[in-house]
Amino acid sequence: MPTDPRKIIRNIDDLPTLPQVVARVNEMIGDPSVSAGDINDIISKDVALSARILKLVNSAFYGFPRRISSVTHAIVILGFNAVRNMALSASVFQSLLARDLPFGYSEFWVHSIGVAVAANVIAREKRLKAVEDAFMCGLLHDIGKVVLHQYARDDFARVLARVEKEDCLIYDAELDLLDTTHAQVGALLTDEWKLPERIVNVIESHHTPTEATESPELTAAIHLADVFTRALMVGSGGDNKIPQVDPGAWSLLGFSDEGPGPIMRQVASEMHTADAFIELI
Amino acid sequence: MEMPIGDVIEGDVLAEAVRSAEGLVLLPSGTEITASQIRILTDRGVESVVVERNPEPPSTVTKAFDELDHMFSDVRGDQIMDSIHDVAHAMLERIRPQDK
Repeated sequence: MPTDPRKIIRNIDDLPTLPQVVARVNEMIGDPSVSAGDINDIISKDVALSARILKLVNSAFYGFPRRISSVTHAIVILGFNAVRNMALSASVFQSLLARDLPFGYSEFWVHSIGVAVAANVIAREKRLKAVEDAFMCGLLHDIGKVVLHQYARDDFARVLARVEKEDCLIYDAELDLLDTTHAQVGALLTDEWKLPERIVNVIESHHTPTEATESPELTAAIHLADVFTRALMVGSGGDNKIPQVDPGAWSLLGFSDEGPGPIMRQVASEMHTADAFIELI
Repeated sequence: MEMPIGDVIEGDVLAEAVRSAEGLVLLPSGTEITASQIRILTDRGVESVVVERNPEPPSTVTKAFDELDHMFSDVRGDQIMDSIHDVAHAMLERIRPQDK
């Protein structure tokens, strides 16, 4: 049984941090006295980040008919949470440089972006409350694998060796060989980054959605987004098998009535909208 | 994993640097290899390179079907997983070979 990710990530202080600007924006989001202009002032200190955010906001993913020309404008139209999420999306690839990831750095992020798109489609089509967090949770759902590779390299190497030998899921090898899983490690990292509890909990429970304590529906959405993205063969999660869908998550989101067809086809048709994110890898 | 140069395809990532007989680095580790680089290495007499172990992108639709079936091989027989497999399979069927 997985227990505590801290047993394997020996020194929490070694974990990668968010860029200062992004961490500051994340802190400010909760403060009701903060204005769009205040956030813009912070973000504009990082010219490269501002440019990436604007590129994402103006990409096919949002599909706005008119060009958004400033971060302030983006906040007014999309809201604080969405811009915090854009800032995070625009920085996460730089925060976790692991170009020697054994199963392919680009393929890993393509899979993660794919799950983000799929989660967004599911959350939107199923009219979930936390739809704006779905993309973020999808993008970060497997980030624990990168952390394990960088900060518990020998342990994770044993996991990957088991995966190669027995052609099993990384998650199952982790359960058998380690005291923790990439889901828990991902939750540890995003908690250190002070992301909202609901996002941390979704990441922690994405393989065990019925254990979600914060947002069962959003967790179920990420759980299914991962499976659909694998079935559509978008990128690679590092293994060659597909996890069994949790029946509780399946019926919670209404898939037992209409089946996966319409949503899977919608996900496939919207994959290209994330091209701007793929360019950031 | 080590791979004969003839099996390398564009997009493979080098896990180790490729060196000339004199030991000079021709391509560094981490290079995402291009078709012209493959030609150049072949011309220079390089016989094999070491690439990252990642699943090969399906180069033919048949290979994609095989990958899909393999992915689901542990979960077939489950109603939910079968329905997902069948949708993915049907979507692949619409991709004609000349479109790949």
